[in-house]
Amino acid sequence: MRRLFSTRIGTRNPIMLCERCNSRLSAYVDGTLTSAELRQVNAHLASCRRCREDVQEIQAIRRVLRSMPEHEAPAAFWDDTLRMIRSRARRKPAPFAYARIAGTAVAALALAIILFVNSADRQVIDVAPAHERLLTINPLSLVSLHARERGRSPLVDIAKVRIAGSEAEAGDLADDGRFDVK
Amino acid sequence: MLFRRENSADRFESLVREHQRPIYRVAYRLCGSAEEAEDLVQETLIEAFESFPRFREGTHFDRWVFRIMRNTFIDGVRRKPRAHIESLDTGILDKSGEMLAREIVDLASAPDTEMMARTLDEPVQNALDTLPPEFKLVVVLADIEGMSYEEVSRVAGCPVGTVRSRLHRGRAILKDKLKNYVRF
Repeated sequence: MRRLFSTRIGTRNPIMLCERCNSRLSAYVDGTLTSAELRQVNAHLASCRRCREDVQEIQAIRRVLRSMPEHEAPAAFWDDTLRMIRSRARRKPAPFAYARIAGTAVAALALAIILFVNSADRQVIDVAPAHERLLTINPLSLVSLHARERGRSPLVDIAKVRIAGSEAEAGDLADDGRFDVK
Repeated sequence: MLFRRENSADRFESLVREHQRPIYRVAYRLCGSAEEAEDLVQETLIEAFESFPRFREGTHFDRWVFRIMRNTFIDGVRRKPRAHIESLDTGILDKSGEMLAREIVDLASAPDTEMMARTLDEPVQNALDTLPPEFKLVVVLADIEGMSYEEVSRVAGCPVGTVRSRLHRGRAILKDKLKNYVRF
């Protein structure tokens, strides 16, 4: 009967259990155990016939697997497969090329948006007919104008406002918050 | 761009030609039939070619392809319904429906290796086909291809300890499945 549990009475080092040893037998046959594991397994094998038989069986299975005949694909298979891959290579660009194309397209679109917004930014809007002469303008009215224009076209920004033929800029704001028009 | 792709196809083709035997050998043992092996190789090589810009020259091309093949194979196994697996414990029916005894190879008497390999080819393949795909991969790479545990671990994408236990359990299953064919 297979020994599942074994300790030498009166010794400090218990003999490795069959179960524990068995899980290491493949690695033992392949020569991949650490030196400590190897010592333990060798000690166990010296006293366990069943595990020694297991070693022989694993060696036999390994021998059978290693001696399996090699199957080869016909030469035409490789020719066809490689021709198919080559035709795919001609048909479509590499995946990284797609990424490059997509990147370029995104950059071009971003540039177009910036240019458009920038040109909208420079757009000059008349807030009053030329014949009207305004001396001062409350900045709040510019804010509402700004909001109205944005509502009409979200990309429009207004930095400069022509008022009655003159151009006023943010720097022209007077200390009292009123807009001086020259 | 097209020129670069063509150059890359040339290099890819030369590497495939150089490693075609192990690539097909592993595919065949994983699939168990020429037809399925050819499908697996084609699918793997298409994937490999798409990823070829990431292949590092000077590293093992076949190991790199095996890693791609592992994913393709395991995905394929999960996708398809379970195939019929012939029981290895029963006899074989001949054309008249009579049950024939299986031929037993006595390894101890050391028969002609080539003859033994031919006799055991089908039963071993059938036994391999009963293994879970992760076990089968490890057994094929270690025992048929003779790769080290570390190499198998890199291809299988699991720690060396897992390779060790999968290999051990895989061999134990094979031993059990082949007991009617092989006298140890």
